[in-house]
Amino acid sequence: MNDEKIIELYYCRDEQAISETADRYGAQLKRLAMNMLHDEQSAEECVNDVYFKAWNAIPPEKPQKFHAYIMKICRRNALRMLEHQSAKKRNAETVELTQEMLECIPDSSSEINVQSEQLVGRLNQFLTSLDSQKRIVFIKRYWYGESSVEIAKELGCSEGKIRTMLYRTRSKLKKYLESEDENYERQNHIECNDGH
Amino acid sequence: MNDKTILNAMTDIDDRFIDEAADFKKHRIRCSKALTKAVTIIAAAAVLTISAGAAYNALTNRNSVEHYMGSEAADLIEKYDLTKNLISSNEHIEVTLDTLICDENTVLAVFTYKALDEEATHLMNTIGMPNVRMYYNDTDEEVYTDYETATFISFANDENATDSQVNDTGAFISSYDISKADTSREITFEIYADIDDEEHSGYDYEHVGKYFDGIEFTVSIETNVETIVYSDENGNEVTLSPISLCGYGEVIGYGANVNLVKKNGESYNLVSDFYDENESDTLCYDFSDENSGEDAGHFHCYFRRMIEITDYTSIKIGGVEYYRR
Repeated sequence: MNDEKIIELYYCRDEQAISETADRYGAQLKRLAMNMLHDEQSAEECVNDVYFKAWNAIPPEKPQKFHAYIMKICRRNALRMLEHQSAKKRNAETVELTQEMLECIPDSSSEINVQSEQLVGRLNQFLTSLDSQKRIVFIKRYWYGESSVEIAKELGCSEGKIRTMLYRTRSKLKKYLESEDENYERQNHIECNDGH
Repeated sequence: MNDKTILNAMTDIDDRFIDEAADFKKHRIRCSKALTKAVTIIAAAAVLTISAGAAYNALTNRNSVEHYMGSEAADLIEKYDLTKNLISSNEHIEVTLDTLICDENTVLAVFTYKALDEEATHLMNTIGMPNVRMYYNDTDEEVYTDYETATFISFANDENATDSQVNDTGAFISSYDISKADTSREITFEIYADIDDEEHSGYDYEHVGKYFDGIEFTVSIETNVETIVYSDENGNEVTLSPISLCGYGEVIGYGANVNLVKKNGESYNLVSDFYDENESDTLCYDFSDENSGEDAGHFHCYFRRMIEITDYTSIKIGGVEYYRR
């Protein structure tokens, strides 16, 4: 059943919507949840909550891209559950993922407070600037939480190549965010002076 | 901002990126061996024809090599007979393997392509650089390579020109770390296409694939340049070739200076830098920061130029001096 028909079932309040969603995307949802949480029980809980949230949100929401919509719900759930996990309980892979993300943070970040929406906008612009292979690898790693080994297998190349690609992209993202911070500061300075 | 901020913000990126990564499929073009052999034979005939009145080792596409490596490198390639000028073509595209330089740890290849019809020209404008796969010719097994760099340029750029006038020729350079490969076996470079965005390009993968049918080069990657070993007082060694510097023991790291020193005291400075926007004098990519486990302390710098190495008696890396053995 395609996404359009599944959404129709949600709108008709037909509970088959849930089973169709699970049929079509259950495996992917489980995989995303496992990549983030590394615990079978937590992952199941996360995915079940996705179905619950989707059922409550549709209608009135009518997602244009259903796959991305429910994957986002799943990722938010997983990140929320991670926050409640104590540092000790966190899996080594999760720690590695967050440590890699630390490398993308610009040095100016403590001085400049960027709104979340602004950051999303910057991330979108940055991702648009990448060629598709680099972008896909970046998303697979930092959105879907896949390991370098898994990504290398999918792309048919060496793990070393993937690690290199990710390292470069993280460095590039950091530079990009730094330059955006500088532009933001400059703009704010101009606006302050104009105000006086 | 902390790691959680970025991880959380990532959740709300544009849906198309999420779907793009989920929809990705790995594709590969395979052509029949008979077709490959036929193409190679034609290529050899073409090479002989070109060579007839010209210097035997002159680069057909000197501008491709010069663009990436400088005119001195093009001179060295011709001087040391590293010119390949091997052509592989089909009805849509002609690709030339201009040069193939191999030391014990590195393979560097420069390719020039020429689109032979308007469809192929449009394709090259859309996809940019094609992909290169390297595999052992006897078993089809992919050659293990730790790192790979690749850069693409298209010539005759003119924003106001039509598709048929712009970007029908271009070049790309690929470098590979082959320190763990079996260089005694012949390898094949297979050129194949990948597409960025089906919706925008109007192509599907099967349609795109045909443009590179049969584009392959079977070559040896045995060392064809001089390699010199230097060691420090503790016995740590580094290996210098015209295209790379490798070693264990001293991690170069980002931004480190490397000096090649002649007997008369003259020195040639290399800077290890990942992102030199100008790509001018800065000379090497260094991946040592990423190595761990048994590869920890291993560095491998790919040069952006090709250099003559015979006169250098020592190498200074950071504060450590390595002497020629």
